[in-house]
Amino acid sequence: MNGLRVLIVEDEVIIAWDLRETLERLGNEVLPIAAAAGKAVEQARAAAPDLILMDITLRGERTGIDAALEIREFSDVPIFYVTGNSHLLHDLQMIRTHAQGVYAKPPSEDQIQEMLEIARRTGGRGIDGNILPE
Amino acid sequence: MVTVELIYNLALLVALSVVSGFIDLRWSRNTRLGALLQGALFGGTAVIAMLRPLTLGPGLIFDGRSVVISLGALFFGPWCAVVAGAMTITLRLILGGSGAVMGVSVILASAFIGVFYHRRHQSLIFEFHSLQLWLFGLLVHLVMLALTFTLPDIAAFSVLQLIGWPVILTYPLATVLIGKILSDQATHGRFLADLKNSEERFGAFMNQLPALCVLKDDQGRVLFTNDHMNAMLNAQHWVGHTAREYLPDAQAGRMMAEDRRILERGIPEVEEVTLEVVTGENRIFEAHRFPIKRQGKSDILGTIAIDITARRQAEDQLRRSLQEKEVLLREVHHRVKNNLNIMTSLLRLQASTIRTPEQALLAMQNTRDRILSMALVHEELYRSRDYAQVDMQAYLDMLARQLLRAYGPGDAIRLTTRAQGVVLSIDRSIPCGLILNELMTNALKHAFPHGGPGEIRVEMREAGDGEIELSVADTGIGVPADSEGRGTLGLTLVRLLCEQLEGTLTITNDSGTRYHIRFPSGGGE
Repeated sequence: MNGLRVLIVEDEVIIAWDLRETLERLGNEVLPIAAAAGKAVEQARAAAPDLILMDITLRGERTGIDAALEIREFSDVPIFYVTGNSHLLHDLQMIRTHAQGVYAKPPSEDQIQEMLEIARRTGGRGIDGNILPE
Repeated sequence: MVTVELIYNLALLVALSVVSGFIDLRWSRNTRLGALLQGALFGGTAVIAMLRPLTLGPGLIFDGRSVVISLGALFFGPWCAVVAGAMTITLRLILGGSGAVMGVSVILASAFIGVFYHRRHQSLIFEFHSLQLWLFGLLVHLVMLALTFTLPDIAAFSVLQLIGWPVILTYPLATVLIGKILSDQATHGRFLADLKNSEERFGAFMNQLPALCVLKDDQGRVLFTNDHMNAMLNAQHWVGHTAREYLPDAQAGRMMAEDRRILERGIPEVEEVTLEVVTGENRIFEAHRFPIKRQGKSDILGTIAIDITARRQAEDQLRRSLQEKEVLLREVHHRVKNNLNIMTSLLRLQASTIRTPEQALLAMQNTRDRILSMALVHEELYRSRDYAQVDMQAYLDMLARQLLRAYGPGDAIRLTTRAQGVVLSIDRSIPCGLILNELMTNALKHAFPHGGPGEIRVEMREAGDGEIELSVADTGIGVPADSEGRGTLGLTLVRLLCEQLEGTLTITNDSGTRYHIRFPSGGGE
């Protein structure tokens, strides 16, 4: 199993830290954590991650969906929403971001494995409209 | 000639009734003065009738005194009878002659019968049917005929033969005619009084209504505006005018077209209108406009407009309040979930550091403290009833009490807190509370391994440039160079939370340990 380069977009540091620990333990490289949408887009452009775990409520006005839409302008990187805002599941904007899946926060280790597996299979290319609601 | 006299007599009697009505309108028959004046009138009329008698033949003289006096007594009572009787009796005595006794007797009999029936009449309103009046007239004149027996030198029977039938046929009829006129006047008087009463009642009622009331005719002319309307819109001078004369043209045209439509269709309409009232403020009215049907024809338009401003405002406020509550509820659930997520992550992080049962026990204790430090934020929120901001002094006091109870460092260690006037948003207070918990726990557990004496000082203050300064200082042994599992996690937690607050952390080791954190009081990207 090859390690992937993962970008965590999360404004709650403890949850981000937890995700990082798990991902690193599973042999992946975790990029510096982005707590706001602008930072997330910047990181996605600069570091070209293999996988993005995206929270929806972020620090500041813009959401994870805003960030994902902007990232989609230059990248097909697999994006998984990891969120407590399950009421946004059917948000039209969110569907337009062609994310690979949506997971309730915080995801279990099995769920993280699943995300990594999907990311590996799709080889960094997004699948249109493939939303996997939790 | 006879016909002319008859007409003269009838005209006299009709004039009597008209003047009687005139007097009754000004001086009611129910007052002593009214009754006396009526007596004078009836007496005067009878006197004139006696001075111009109707002569049917030689020695055969009719006059209307019995009719006039009996009706006066019947309609206006004893005082009227006394005055009229006195006047006619005086005249009859002056005239003298052989018929004087009978003349006076007829006057007295007529007056007594009239008063008798007046007394028997139950109601205050003197209205009679024709039959009643005819029977009354018949009685009076039968008595009058009976009184011919008082005539001294003429045989009563021959007089009776002469005048008997004409009197019985004509006098009761005359009584009916005059009585009916007087009765009709009483009826009219009653209608007028009822109408006036009703008008006053409804006028007062309309004026008391706390709504704008308007009546308009089918040409759109204002017929009536109530007091409330006048007070609210200065509408008293609208009466007699159409909307064109008191409203701007466009508005007036619209209103008159609507008014016409309501009258033509005969269907009421309700709408909400905003009007500028005399105080200059705009108020919302619910205007009900409806046709008033009279004898199958709708030619009057009524409007009742109720001020619903207060109701509308209350509704708006309620709706706003409900929306706020919904937002708040969603927010609360989100926070609860978020906090539980944080706890899940913390537990997982902590689990990965556990190697021995002692560490497991320690981890449990630390987790308990962290959960408490978060719970205290919520306690302070609902205790203070300010659901958006946390008073940090109150929070610190509670946290210090909890930790002292948990770690019981003894009297030698003094824990002081000072955060007077510092308030934080709920977003900032959770990470800040966790930081305070870690640093204070750390100091309580590790700064004084040999007990006191010592001091732990916790301070928070606003630095003035929108930043908050937080410091936890102890007079203990300083940060251990290589602290065990819990220390590492705790300090990492502090660093990360400090990052989340976008703050800076400095640690100084100088006669004890001092953690100093500066962070902006408001969040932002």
